[in-house]
Amino acid sequence: MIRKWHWRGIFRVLHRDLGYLFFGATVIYAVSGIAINHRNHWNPSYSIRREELPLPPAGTNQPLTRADATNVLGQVGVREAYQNHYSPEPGQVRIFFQGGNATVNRSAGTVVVESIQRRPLLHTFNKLHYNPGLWWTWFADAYSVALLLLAVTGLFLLRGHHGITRRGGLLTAIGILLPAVLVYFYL
Amino acid sequence: MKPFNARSLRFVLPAALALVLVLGARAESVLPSPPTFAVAALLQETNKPWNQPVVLEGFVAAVCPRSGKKAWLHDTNSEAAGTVRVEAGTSPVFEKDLIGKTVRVTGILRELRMDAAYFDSWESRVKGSNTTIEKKDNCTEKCEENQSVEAALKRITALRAQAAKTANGCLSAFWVDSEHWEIVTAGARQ
Repeated sequence: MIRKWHWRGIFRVLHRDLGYLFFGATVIYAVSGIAINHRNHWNPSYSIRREELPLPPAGTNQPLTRADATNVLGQVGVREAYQNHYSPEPGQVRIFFQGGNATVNRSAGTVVVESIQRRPLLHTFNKLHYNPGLWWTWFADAYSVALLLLAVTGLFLLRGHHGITRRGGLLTAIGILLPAVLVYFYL
Repeated sequence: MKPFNARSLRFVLPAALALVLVLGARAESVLPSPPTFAVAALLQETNKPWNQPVVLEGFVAAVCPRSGKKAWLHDTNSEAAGTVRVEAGTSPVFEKDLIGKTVRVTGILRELRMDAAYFDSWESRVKGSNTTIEKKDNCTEKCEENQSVEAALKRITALRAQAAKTANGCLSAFWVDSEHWEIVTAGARQ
């Protein structure tokens, strides 16, 4: 016997299955969305530890040679390998090592050591959020289409008091008006 | 003389196709590779190959903290002064943990000539809107995207003064639009 599908039934199946299928992508975009939204207050992808220390004697040499830079790193307790160094501005030398940098400030007599580490999982989520390549573009496009379908089908899942014609309609209208009001006043 | 036989095309066409392919492959293999520059050499080069492919080598001194789409390369000689901006055009963005590592960038060398007309246009845009910085053309390591209008105008005035001191009254800013980059020193992933 051929089963006849009602449009509401098709919407329910679409909503359910797309919801399952794109659960992972939703988590990635939601978590990284929060992280990136607050990037002015923290670094969402890297954990950065800063420590200010007194300038060791080797840091006062001018010009600072590679041997001096390596000595400075050793004297401030950096065990990682020296990579490069340069002077970003007069009186300042930045020494790069594996996993961070040390900025020598001659006038202040200090060295600021910055250790940089990728945040596990969050770094990957954020990278995906920023679209790392064509392979992700296709997946993200599919996800966007699925989100549209989820939104539209979600409107018509229920009938009656909680449906789109009553309470659901009111909430949908608020959801559209709210960003519109924010755009009007702040953009 | 034998009359032209259409059946002979069976041999002539594949042979011609093979010849074209062979010649094409040869032509591709003899294409000149782009010139390679160290950062200091490119900064000092008087006859820069504008809008031409170049290979640039240097270590990453800074990366745009907002997007990672820009990196500033310094010469591997620590005593050298100055950096060259690299824009991640079609290549992957620059990760923050790339800082300090030596990279080789293949891309197109671009120039922006900042003359009086350019400064006038920039100034009017700053005064007429909240756009305070030339994001694409005149971006610096200090990420001055959110600077105040006053600070932007001050910067324009300073650049105008610098341009006035040059022989042709204009400043030249340049960068490399990266098509591909690779880490020269080991120890990191792209």
